[in-house]
Amino acid sequence: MKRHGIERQTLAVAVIPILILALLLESYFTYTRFADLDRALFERAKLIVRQLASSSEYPVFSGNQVLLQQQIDTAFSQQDVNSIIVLDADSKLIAGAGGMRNSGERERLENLASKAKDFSAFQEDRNVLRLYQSIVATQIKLDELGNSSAENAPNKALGSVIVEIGKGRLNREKIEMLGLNLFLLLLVLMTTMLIAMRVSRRITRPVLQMNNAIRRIGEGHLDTYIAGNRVLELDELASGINDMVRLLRQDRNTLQQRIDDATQELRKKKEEAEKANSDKSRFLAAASHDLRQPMHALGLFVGELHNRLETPEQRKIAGKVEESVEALSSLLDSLLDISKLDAGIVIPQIQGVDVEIMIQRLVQDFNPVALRKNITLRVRSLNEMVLSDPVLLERILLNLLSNAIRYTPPNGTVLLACRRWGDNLRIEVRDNGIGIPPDEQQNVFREFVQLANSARDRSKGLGLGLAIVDRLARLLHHTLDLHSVPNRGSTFAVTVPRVFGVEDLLAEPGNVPVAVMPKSDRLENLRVLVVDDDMLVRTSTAGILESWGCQVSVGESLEAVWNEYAESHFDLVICDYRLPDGNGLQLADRIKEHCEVPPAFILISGDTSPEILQAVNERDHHLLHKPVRPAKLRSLMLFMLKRRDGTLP
Amino acid sequence: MLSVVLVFLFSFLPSVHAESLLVTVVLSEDGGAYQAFSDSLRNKLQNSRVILSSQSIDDKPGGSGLYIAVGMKAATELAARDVPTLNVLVPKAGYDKLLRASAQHAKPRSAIYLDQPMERQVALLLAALPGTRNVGVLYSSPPPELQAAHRLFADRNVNLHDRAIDASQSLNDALEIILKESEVLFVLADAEVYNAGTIRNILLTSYRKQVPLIGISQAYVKAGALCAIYSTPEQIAAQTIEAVRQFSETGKLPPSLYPKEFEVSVNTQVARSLDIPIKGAASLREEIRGKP
Repeated sequence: MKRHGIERQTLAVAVIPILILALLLESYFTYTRFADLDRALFERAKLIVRQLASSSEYPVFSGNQVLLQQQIDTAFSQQDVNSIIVLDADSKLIAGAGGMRNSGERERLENLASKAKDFSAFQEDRNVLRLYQSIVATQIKLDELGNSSAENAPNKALGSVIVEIGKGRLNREKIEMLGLNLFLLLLVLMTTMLIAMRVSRRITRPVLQMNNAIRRIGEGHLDTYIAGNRVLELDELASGINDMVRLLRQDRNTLQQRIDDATQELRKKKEEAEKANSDKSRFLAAASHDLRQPMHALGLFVGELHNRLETPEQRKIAGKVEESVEALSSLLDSLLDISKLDAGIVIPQIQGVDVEIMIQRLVQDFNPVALRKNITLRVRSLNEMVLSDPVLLERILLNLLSNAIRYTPPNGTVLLACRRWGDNLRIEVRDNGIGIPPDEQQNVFREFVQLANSARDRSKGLGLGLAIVDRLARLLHHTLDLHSVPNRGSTFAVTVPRVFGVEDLLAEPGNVPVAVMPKSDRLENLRVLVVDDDMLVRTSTAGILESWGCQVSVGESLEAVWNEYAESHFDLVICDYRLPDGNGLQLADRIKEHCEVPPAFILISGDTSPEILQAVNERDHHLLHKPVRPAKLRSLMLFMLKRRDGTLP
Repeated sequence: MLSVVLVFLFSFLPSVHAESLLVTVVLSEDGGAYQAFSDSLRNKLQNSRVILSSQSIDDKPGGSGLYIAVGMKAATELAARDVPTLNVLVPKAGYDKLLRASAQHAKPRSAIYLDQPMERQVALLLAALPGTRNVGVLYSSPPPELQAAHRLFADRNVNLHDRAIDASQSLNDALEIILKESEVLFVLADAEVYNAGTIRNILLTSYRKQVPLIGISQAYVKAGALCAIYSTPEQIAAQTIEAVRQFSETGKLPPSLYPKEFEVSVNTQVARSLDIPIKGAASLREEIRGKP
């Protein structure tokens, strides 16, 4: 349906009836007026021709040309008379005026007239009107007494008059009248249109204003106000809209207030959550540190104890204790790792990594475990270099392997396989264990989630392994895939970018602590200074070192060390980072200043803050995190000695 | 033919013994002069016993002693029957023609003419226009009274110019010629020349030439003739009664006669327009009457 505006509709309503009425009236009046004009002209023409016929009766009878011409001229001088001719009884031209010569028309008129009662006829076209009138002698009755022969005398026509009347003036008048009428019609229409438009504007303008206002309101300008209107309904509409806007404004203010309140609330909640999270991290860090101290000491004590026990029975018990300490220590390690990763202080050292070597090592480590569980550990390795952090990548694979072996039943198979995947290397750890249901596949990466371990058997791990894997993979930007079917097994895959050509040569495997620990014991007579404010740690460390044959000195603070060992020489300083009157780095700096050959320096810290790590790295010291396992300490010490002796670069 | 038959019973007092005469009046048509005649006849017979009845002309009223034919039509109709007939209001020429055409009758027949004797007409002309020397006459075919007219005018030293209208000469041409020769146009009854359609133009033409026209009835005077001599229906009715009386007494009708009484009518307006000194109608009538 075509749509029209109010203006056009009002215009139509106003103009159409007026137009119809005006047209009807105009055509009626024009028609009647034209008919009047035609009739008037016809009557006048008839009068002229009759008059002429009458007045020319005698001249025609008497053949008086002069008189006849006079009569004709008199008639001819009248308005609109184009031409006149007078014919005698034999239709012969006697006299005339104007230029009518159309004999055909004349004959037709004569024929017509001969049939007419009053011996007259007319014929007309658009431009002329021709009238024919017989000249008949005036009848005067002579014989009242019945002279019958007189009555028989034929009423013979003396002749005829034909007058041609021009319609030029009439037509002009008609055209003028028509023009005037049309002008008036136009005037009426224009006036009507003007009035209709004015009236409709009075409606449409406020409607448009309201429309604009509503659009503005729609755009959110709720301060919009619509002025009142002279048209009652529009005024009501305007005030209605104004009321609506006011209500909307109120509602919006209320809503805004609520949103603000809710936002405030949310912000508070968020802050609380953030605070809780950081509290958690701090707690973890602190707890790790505080747990590490005794753990550290315990490990060292147990190590020493193991060395000193003599009976196999005692050694067996000590072995169990060692295992428990080991488990406790690895739990702490995991917790510490998680907290470090969450705290964002682990900065990956990306470099070229020889996958084959790494895998060999892992297999070497896991083979005994697999053997114990009667699990076949199969390897498909590739001689490839990848771009990754060697420690963190190894940690990922280690966790995945340990996880796979843990959840694979005896007689199962665990496959560690590499395959090229475009520019990447995909390292898969596949088992045919219990598998993971699809709805649990995301959960396994969360902390402390262990499927099929509702009893939380500690021998099955802590449930932190996959959480660490997930965090590490994200940190290294390695894609981690999990594909698993319950009771059929799981496949964990990590995709690592490969290194090609030149990068192989540039790769620096230098920092990787890959040195195989030599079996020869070279720690004897090594002069070691142990600095720790914690007496337990101090004594345990000293104990284990002594059991390895080292000459151990101890100190509890910077000042104490300074006072006691200012003049002493040490091969190695093992120092707690946090000391009562400073930190391990300050001690290292001072020793370095005073000694010609500065000792090797191992810092031991419970803190995981990156500042410490950075500072230690800058000075080329070694940092160990508590709790330090005796084996680890020992291998580090051996490594450092080798380097110092020049057996390592 | 429209005919009205009036039947009168004439009984003339005081001859009580006399037998009543049944008279049937047959009108050529109703109205006009015929009716005037019939009315006048009845008026004059008011004291007589009149039996009046209307009947068709074709009916044969039994016992009717006399028929009065009024006008040429009635006369022609009755001429076919052998009945005593008195014809009135018929022109002499027409009646003579009728007599010649019809067979001899045993029953008496007579007429009282409509027109005036030529002597009387000539007398009027001379009385009205005493010094006239040239008189014009127009006709289509020579009328019977032309001879008499020639003779009468010649007796009085007046030239009579006559001219006929024929195919070679139109009315106007003849008129033009005759008007040049004449001082007065003298009308002799001729329907071809003088009729309702022509009279106006004849009058106009003649007066343009300052020639007056002497008519033969009052209608001419009304149309514009200078004067005319004629008998009224009343005068003829009176003469008719005389004839009927004679018939009832003697059984014979008087011979055919011109009307005894007459009237003269003058158009003074025309006279004044043409600047003609003319006597009054009455004096003219007396003058004519005085002459035998």
